[in-house]
Amino acid sequence: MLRKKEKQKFQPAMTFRKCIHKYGAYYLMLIPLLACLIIFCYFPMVGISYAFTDYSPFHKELNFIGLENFQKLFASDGFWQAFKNTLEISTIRLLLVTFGSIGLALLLDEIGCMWFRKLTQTMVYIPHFMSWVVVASIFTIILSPQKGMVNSVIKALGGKPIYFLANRDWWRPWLYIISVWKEMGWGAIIYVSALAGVDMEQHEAATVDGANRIQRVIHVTLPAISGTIMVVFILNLAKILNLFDPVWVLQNSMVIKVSDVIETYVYRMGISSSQYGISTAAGLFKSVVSVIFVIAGNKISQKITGEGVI
Amino acid sequence: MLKRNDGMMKRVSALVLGAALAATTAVWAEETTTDADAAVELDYEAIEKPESISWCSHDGMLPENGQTEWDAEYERLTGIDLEHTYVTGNEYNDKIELDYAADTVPDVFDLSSTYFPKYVAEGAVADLTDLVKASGLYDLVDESIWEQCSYEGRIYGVPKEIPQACGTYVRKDWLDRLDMEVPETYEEFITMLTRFRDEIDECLMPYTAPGLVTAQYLPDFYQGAFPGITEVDGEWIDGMQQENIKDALQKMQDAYAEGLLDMEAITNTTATCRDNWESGSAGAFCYWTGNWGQQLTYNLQKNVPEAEVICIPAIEGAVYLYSTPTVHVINGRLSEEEVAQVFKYFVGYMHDGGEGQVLFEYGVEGVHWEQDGENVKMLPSLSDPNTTLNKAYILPSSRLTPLSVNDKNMVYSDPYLDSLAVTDASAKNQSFQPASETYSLISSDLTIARDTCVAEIVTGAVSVEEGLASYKEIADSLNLEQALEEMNAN
Repeated sequence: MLRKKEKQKFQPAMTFRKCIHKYGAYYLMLIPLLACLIIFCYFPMVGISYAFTDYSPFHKELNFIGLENFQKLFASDGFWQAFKNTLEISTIRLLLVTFGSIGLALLLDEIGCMWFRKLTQTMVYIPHFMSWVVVASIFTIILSPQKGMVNSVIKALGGKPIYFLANRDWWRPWLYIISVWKEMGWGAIIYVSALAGVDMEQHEAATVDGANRIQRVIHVTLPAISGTIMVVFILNLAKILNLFDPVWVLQNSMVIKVSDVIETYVYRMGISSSQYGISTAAGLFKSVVSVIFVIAGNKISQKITGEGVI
Repeated sequence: MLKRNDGMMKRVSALVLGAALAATTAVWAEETTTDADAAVELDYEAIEKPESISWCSHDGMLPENGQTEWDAEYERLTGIDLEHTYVTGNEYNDKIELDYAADTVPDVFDLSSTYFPKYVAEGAVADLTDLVKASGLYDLVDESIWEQCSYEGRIYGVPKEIPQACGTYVRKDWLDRLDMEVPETYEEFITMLTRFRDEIDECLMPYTAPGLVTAQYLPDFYQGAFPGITEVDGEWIDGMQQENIKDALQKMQDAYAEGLLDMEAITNTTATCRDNWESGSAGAFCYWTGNWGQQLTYNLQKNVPEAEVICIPAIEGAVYLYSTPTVHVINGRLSEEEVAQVFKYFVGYMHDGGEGQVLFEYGVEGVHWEQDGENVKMLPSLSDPNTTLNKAYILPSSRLTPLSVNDKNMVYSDPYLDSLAVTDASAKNQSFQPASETYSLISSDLTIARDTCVAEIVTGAVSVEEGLASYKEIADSLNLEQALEEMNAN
């Protein structure tokens, strides 16, 4: 047995020709995917070079200007305010949506009646498929200080109406509430499937040992799906700075200081002001920070759970 | 010998150089004369018809309202293939800019005042001065309009329509109920809004407005002040740093605190305001006159049959403003010959006073309009038979040049004509803001500083002095002064 394993271990690597001969069909099937990856993911990366040039759509010549765009970007107070806002808003959103999804998945897992469970699942997925523009319109009506449902309740209770979407103290909490409402159901899907794979014998053993429901969730269910939670969390960490739609559609001049994020800043600079070089520099900076987050997240995961995902 | 040779060499060199200089001067003079002659003697009639023209549009006739039929009619009348691309308004400017990046720029397209100066400064659009003059279009249009579309004396765009203005609409039936006259001063205006708030039960917002920074939509409060870069006595200045803005913002702050100005003005869009007005819950609303005067009246009367609307003359101190015109421009990457062809068979054709203008104003006979005696009767919209079209691409009441045919008149409703008469009597033109490299760089941050400052002041978060001081600090740090110097140097 040992000899067989050693033999396998020291087997010389297959030559390229043999490899092609043996797995040719698989490589052939891989070609379209690779082509898509190169065309749509890697080829556009050439655009990164604009960050180091004075690119203008109106002129064909392109002059290398080194780090001038980065200097202008980093000298802008607006950019650092947007960067700070992005980190704060994205981190809180990520935590709320992640924990909300896990909580929802655990609750769904506890529903015994199959048709009701499926109905509930479907109901909580629906908001994910609504465009942010529609969601913003709905909540603008709901939160209206003059005709909105929420303020009607406040007024009925004797309070003064609050202009939630133009109030710096209230804008972010409502962004979080709306985000959780929209994304929690969709985020729960993966945890629901992970929960389906939890060994029931462990639950039975815990029950025999006298564990109640909450204790079983804490000591059996959550450890069992911790790998999934980590993978999803690290993958989401990579997207933490990608925050545009919800902010753009809910933003207004009164809350710009607490709501402007890197992507809205990039959009304004790039599209509205035609400063493509600075805009690309901001995008590149954002990507570098995202990569650092992913690597850091992976390291933390390795330390806590003993395994990483990259 | 050497010396003699040196002297000879000098004389020969001088002769050669002199001859070369003379030849160069002669050639230059000849070229200059040829260019000048071309400018003067541009034979407009001899411009040949192009095989095709590409056009990108974003407003006017929508695809679902018979755009295909319109394109086919243009091709039938001109014998030119029309490559017409329609994009929605919110992606139009991005698309045009990306077209420049990808070198797929349409031959002709329109630009708003926000983008026109930038395109001119970048040399992205063609100089149309000679063509405008040679076509006879120049003489048919008021010179002030051409001045608006000119940079350093050269014309780069042809207005699609004459500019439109906004006027303040007031619920006349509410005035009658309160036995009030049309307000003429700011004090009377505020009294009117206060009584609307207090004595009209269905009034939820005495004055509705989309945002707080557009003087055009809030003329009664801005009273001639302008929250942005504006031209005063031929000089470009920052309106946010003038004395009159303080009074305007204080007025708005007081009105907002009193509940006279729509509480949701910050998040309102023009559509929200129209809904507020048409549902009968707003007492005053400043919006476009002419066609919109008709729509605001009739749509309100659908919901509140007894409602009456009046577009009031500007109250004392208030200034109704014309918009800067949207202009048609021609791709600057085309050759001179191609520019001339596109101009004559597209831009010139849409303002020809005849069949071209009729096509651009009314659309296709039998599809969009039908003859009714000496008038044109617009047909119901193809996409929504309950509404009637009011134009194809050019609003007939805002046409740039007169029609030379007598049987294509349009009958306008009273609200249409009355509201138009009010702004025609007093509205002021606005100039295109000149391009400035520094301003392009800071405009995004400056706009945010301005919007935030106005919103904070009006909602009472800060005092007028605090807000404006904070704005000035940001404007100074962004080097707005240099941007203004660049604008004034142009």
